[in-house]
Amino acid sequence: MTVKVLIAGNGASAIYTAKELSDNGIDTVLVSGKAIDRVNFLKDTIQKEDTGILIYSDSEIISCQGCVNDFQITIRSNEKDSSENISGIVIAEEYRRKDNFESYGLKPSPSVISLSEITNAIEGRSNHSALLKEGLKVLFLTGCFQESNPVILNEVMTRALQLQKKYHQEVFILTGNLKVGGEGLEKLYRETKEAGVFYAKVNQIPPVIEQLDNGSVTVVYQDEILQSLAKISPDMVVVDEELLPSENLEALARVFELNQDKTGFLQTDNVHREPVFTNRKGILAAGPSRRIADHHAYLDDAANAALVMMNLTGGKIDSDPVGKARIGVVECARCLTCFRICPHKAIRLEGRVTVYADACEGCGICIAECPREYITWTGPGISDDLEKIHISGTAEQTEDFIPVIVAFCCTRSAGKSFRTAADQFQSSLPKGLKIVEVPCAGGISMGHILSTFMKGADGVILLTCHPGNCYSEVGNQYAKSRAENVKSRLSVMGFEKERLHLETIAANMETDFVRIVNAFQKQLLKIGPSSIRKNLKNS
Amino acid sequence: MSDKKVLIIGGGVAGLSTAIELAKHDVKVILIEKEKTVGGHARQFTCKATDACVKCGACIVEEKIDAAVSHPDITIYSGARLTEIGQQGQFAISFINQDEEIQQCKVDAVVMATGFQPFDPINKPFGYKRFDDVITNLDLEKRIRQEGVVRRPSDGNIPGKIAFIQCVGSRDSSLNHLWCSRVCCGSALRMANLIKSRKKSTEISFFYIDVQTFGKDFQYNYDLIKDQVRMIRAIPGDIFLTADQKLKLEYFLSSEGKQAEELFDLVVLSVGITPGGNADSIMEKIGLKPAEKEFLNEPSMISVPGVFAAGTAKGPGSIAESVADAGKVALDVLNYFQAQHN
Repeated sequence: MTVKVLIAGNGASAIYTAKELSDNGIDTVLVSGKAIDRVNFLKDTIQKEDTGILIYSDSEIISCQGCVNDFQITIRSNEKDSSENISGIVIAEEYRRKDNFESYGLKPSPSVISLSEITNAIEGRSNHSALLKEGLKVLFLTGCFQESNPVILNEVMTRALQLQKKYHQEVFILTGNLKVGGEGLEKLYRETKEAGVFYAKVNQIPPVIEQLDNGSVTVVYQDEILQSLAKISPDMVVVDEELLPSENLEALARVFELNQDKTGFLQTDNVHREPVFTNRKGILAAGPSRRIADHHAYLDDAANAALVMMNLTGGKIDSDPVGKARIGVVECARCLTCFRICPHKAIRLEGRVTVYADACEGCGICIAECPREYITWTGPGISDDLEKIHISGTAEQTEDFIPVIVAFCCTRSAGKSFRTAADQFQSSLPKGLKIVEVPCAGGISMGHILSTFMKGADGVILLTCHPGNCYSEVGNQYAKSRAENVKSRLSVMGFEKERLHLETIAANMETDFVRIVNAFQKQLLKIGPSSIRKNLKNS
Repeated sequence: MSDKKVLIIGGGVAGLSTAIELAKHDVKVILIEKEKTVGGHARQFTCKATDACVKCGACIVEEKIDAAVSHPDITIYSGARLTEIGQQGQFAISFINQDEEIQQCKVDAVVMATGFQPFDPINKPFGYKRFDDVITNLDLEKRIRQEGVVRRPSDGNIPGKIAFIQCVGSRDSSLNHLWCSRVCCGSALRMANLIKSRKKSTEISFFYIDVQTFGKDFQYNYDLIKDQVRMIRAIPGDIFLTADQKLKLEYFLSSEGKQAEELFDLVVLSVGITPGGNADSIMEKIGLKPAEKEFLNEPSMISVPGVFAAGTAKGPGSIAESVADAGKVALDVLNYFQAQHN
């Protein structure tokens, strides 16, 4: 199968990804918001004469239709629109750097400069020989008022070392938490200290920074070792920067319907998205489009993106569930509930409302939410599993009463912890426990819960993933609101609402699984057998 | 590539993830793990979610184990010992399986996912193994996973005051450990948060050098956690046991410029990630110079074609980072086969 991949970006991350894809024989289309020169851009990176990489520079992606293996992308360059048929997409935009002058209360001046400016001067990208003059007293300000990160610290220390050793300047670094949690940074820290770079930490008492009208700066800070106030009057101040998501990400998130994290990166802070996945199949986020990380991490992401796309060549899609949603052709009233709520954007609107089979993750949220129940599973669904549960015999509130507990377990979390618990502590599990594993708790409908009570269950417990850990992002929230809804209905019907319970759990919580179901059993023992079960015929 | 076979040494997060990625691309995998079960250190970690997931990644290990165990192209030998690896071209390997039988086969590439050795704090002045209530972060993970609550090993009581001591065996020039272990700040602070959420009255102090960034939404999660914990930028000198079985910590309180001492019920040492596993003996078998307690972070250290290193064998990293690295290693292996083929 021919696979064509679109990469959005124009920096190191995009180049690494393009290289990995092209080396593995995958057609690559690169779209950059900036004007880029093809030859310069690809030189040194992609060795082959004809890379087959198609570059749209100075261009914008304006729409995306379809799903994995069959995206239709519209790209606008010079007010002209072109269309590409694409199998998969990798978003690999670079960071945006924002100077921190304001947070330090400083105004930029010839002697108050940003980290980028000193980097450019040292790398010879700007003509600032004054900055590199021998004997200058230089102060770096980093992470004093807000947390920094290893990428910035690496640059601060690398530049500090060069100024101290090569340009014979006298370098001070005033810092908050020193972010040495990156490869080789503790060693680099020692090296700078040995070279004579002076560090002062100010993460407990903030420094006082003053800038006079003539631009000169004095900094007063509490020296923790001397236990006294110390004052620095540097010739030059280098202010650190913040690494923020590219300004393109906002628009890309909109075009591709991707969820963003709190900072704006194109991947929610959800462990199921590691390494490069997003809420949509076939759309990946790599390098600084998904988080702040170093050069090694760019390479890792490029490789992971390539692996996913190479799988498409073999006709395989990462995470392909057995059961998927199917919308009833005749019955559908086009209310578009499913279209609105699908967390994976797998509902197609052209002509009839249908499900993109390749994009469906089989969570069942649409099935449970469809107001008319016109969406069904392609394979066996939750209702089929419920069918298999038989609750026989009536029960009385006697000493031998064993409550029948039906536990709906998300297969990724509770299902796994149940399986481990059954393996390790079978005898500690309630005797009347019956398990219904579901692909996502978001697929458990109110109908499923009510019909379980109608079968005679003494208690129903929904065990979902913790908030922020749902593979379908919001399945656990749907489960929670449905459970609350059913509870209020049960109260109205005069049925004990305590018979329905919801808890969140993870795949590695087998001990807690045992504790939770036993605590629920204890509660049911107190309430006694369900009135529905009491009225069941002996069978 | 269905004719290719790869040996993965080590069944931790990196080994399992590399195996899964290779198998997805039609490579047959033999995975040898010295312990009785796969999953590595991370298998013993507890979930640290409170009312929401805090993204420690420990649950991902369960998913990796299931995926590897159920894959038809991955054969796992746990409780096995590797005895020989041939050195040329195809690697002829020989190992002893858990039934003490010798097995032999040939593989086309070798991935060393030999993991790390947790630092042994026995020689540090913190009383580890001398005082029952001084435990490591790994001990704490296991205890909470198994029991749900944290108890003092000495008397089984729930501790009211807990100290976490960071950088034990990391960032330590006296040991020539010139690295930050990267994951311990995040792990300890999440753990502190978990303990607080289960028993609000617990007082937790966090002794540190510098707080390291962890996770994607670091600022958000850190802001939530740091208000729950007393942050003290100092590493205690000595720990003593008092007559009433409490642990006395002495440290320099830099904000006030004086020596301070304080009593705790439980002390948790965040021990560093150090080079280890069986990397050295394996390297010798392949004909490489043993790394002698160094991380395999330079490609030159494993200069035999067809031999690769993955995960924390190369240096400290989180579960998520090991998963990402495994993808890179898997692609390197595939590209190596491709180059041979051309």
